Amino acid sequence: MPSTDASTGSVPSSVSETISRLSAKPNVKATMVLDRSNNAILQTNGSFVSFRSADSMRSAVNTGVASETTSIKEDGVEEFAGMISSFVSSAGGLVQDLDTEDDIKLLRLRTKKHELVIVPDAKYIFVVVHDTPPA
Amino acid sequence: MMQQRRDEILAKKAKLAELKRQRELRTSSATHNRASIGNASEILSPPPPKQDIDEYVNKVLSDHRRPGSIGPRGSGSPVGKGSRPHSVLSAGQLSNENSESGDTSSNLPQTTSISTQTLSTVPLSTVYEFAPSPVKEVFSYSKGVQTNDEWLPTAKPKTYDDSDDSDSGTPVTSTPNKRLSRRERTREEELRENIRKEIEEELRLSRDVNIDGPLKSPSQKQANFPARALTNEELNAVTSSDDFMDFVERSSKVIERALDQEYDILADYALSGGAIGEDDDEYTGGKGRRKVKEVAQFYDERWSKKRMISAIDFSPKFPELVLAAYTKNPSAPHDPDGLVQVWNTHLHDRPEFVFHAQSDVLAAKFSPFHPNLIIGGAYSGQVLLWDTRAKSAPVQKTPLTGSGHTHPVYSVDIVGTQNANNIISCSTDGVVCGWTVDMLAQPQELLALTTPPPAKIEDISPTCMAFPQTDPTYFLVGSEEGTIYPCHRYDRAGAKAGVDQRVSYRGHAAPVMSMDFHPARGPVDLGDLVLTSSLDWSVKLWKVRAPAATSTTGTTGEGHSVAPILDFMREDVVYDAAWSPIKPGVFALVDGAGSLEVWDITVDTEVPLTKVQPSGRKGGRSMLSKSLNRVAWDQTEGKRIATGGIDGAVTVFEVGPDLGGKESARNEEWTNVKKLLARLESQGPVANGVNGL
Repeated sequence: MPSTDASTGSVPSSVSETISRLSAKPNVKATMVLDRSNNAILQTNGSFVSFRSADSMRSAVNTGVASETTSIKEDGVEEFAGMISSFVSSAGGLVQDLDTEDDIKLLRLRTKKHELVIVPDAKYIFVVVHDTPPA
Repeated sequence: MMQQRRDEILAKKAKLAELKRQRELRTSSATHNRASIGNASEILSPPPPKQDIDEYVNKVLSDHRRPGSIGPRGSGSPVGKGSRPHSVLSAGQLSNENSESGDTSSNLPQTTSISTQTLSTVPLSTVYEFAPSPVKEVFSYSKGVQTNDEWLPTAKPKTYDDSDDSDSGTPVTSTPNKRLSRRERTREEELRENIRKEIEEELRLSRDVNIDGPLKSPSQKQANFPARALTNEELNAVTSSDDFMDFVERSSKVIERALDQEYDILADYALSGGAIGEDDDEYTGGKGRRKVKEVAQFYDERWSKKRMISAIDFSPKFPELVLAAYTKNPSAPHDPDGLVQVWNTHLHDRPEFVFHAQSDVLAAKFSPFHPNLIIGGAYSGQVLLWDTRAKSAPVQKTPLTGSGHTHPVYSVDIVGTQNANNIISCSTDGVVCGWTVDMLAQPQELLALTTPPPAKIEDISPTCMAFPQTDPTYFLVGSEEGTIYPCHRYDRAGAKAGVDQRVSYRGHAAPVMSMDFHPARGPVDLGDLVLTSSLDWSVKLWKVRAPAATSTTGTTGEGHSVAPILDFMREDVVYDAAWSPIKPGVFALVDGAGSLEVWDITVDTEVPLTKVQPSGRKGGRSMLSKSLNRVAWDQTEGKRIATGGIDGAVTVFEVGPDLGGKESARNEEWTNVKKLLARLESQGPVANGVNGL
């Protein structure tokens, strides 16, 4: 398979097109696709710093670096992925506890500042962070 | 031996995360016993007493390795949890027991802790100091024995001694027992039992808390990213997999719908007085209850570009879905010529589905009998069937050669009932075909239409076709010359299959672009009203005769001509006109000037109630590309109108309550239409000025 697009890691055009259109929407801050089986980050787009306060970044990095070696990057992508993953799995645990035959389909997490829209799948997780009208 | 057991227990304890803390405490207490206990109780004082007990229990466990306490654990009683309460109870007698075991160092903290911790345990311990120690211990060990106590007093101690007390001899135990009166003993046992239960309970609770606490943090640690970075090949493999692409396709649609949801469900109307004014922009027509407001415009850079819209239809099942058929993009020869996109009013930036065809799609429609099916007619003469569950290629299509259409199909419909329906298609050479949905290989019926005798040429070139709601065997075709002919699909009394030669509807002087039977779902039957639009700058209203009634109009060879009962003269060519599915007198039309007009014949037959133009797409609309080709109402509510034209954009409008919506429908509207029709008919067709031929 010829890989011409270096920036997206030779992702098929339809996928990268979909994601880039999604992230081109005016309110969208960042997008991310995770693989649930091995916790790998398959796609990211946008900045994961802009919607986090400096304080939380610093403390997160401090705690994180203790166990990790040097893998915490400046942009906080991996750390964000970790938070999303644990959030999704704990939410999944809740659903499983309520009804073992049930499953999560969509998570929308509204905060004062943003909204996280998370689509968990059996194999992947799709996350979009976007601004919401101030309320 | 003792040492060995101690090691075992220590190993077990090491597994429990809760005990780590305890062990630390213990090591510190080894040096300063009293002080550490005092400290510990101080530290633990904020939490409820159960914490203290837990603390205490653990201390007992760790500090005292008595042979007796280990014995029962090994034998019958449940390991771990069960054994602990026993040792707690036995702690009351520890002073006695300790004299035997001679473990003085551990004895000290024991007594002190008892006195400080629990009131109930203190009296117990004093009582038992009188009694010989080993015997008491036996009693305290098992629940089962104590319940047996009442009816098997003598047997009980024996079983005890046999089972667990290997260190102390049997005769020794039995003698002290007899010294105590039985009543006293049972009462004590009850008391002890109660305490044991309490402690057990509290221990369990506190342990749950403890276990939950430390165990959670490691699991969060595990989620740290990344497990390992993927190599480029791996990333490529994952992202190229069908699974992944399918997931992205599905999930991005969900996300986009979520993002496009305009209503903010967290809106707090009490909070602030934001600018909530009347949004009267230029793309809103009419006022108040007759308002027509643009709500969405659909255009896809990739697919809609340089294509014209040839058909629009709302899904009968999902009112938010609207399909649009497109002609080819002349500047993209490698793209499929024909295109159908299904748009969702909740998903603004992209179509929900995209369907392809090898030739320009000229007509398309949702099947009213199956929500997943879309039928279409192509310039090549093919009839196509798409399925929203399938990929973009048609699931079925008619062959290019052979029996069927050889000319462009500008009109398709699907008629019949849920269980027996047919696709009817009509091509410009006058051929009308009937197909079954399951088999498009060849037509089930084929009808070649010809003009009735007095005409100079036999050929008829239908531009559109319309079926009444009630009769799937009878239909109208509008022709290029402007005449509208009634047709029968089958032979029937007084008329053969094909064009009915006895009657024709003449009035339009240019090609008929659309015909629409009144949907007539109300108290008055208006199903015989037909609205037609034409390139002669007019829309006309006709009252067609029932197919059976046509035989009464004389059977001369000369065709009987019928004129329209109402004429709406417009300022431009009219490409399409459609009745509201809810309001009996309301219809919408689109014209070559790019206007959408909404009329209500019960209010005004001279001017439209509302006239509005779709918003201009950036760089997309010039004077030449404004023209609107198609208009459609949503079928369930009658509140939304979709229009589309040369510039390839689908625009959806929402109409005010006077023009659509079920809740505002009133019965007098139906009688008003009826009255209007009666008046028009009494005036005669000539009164309308422009007459037919």
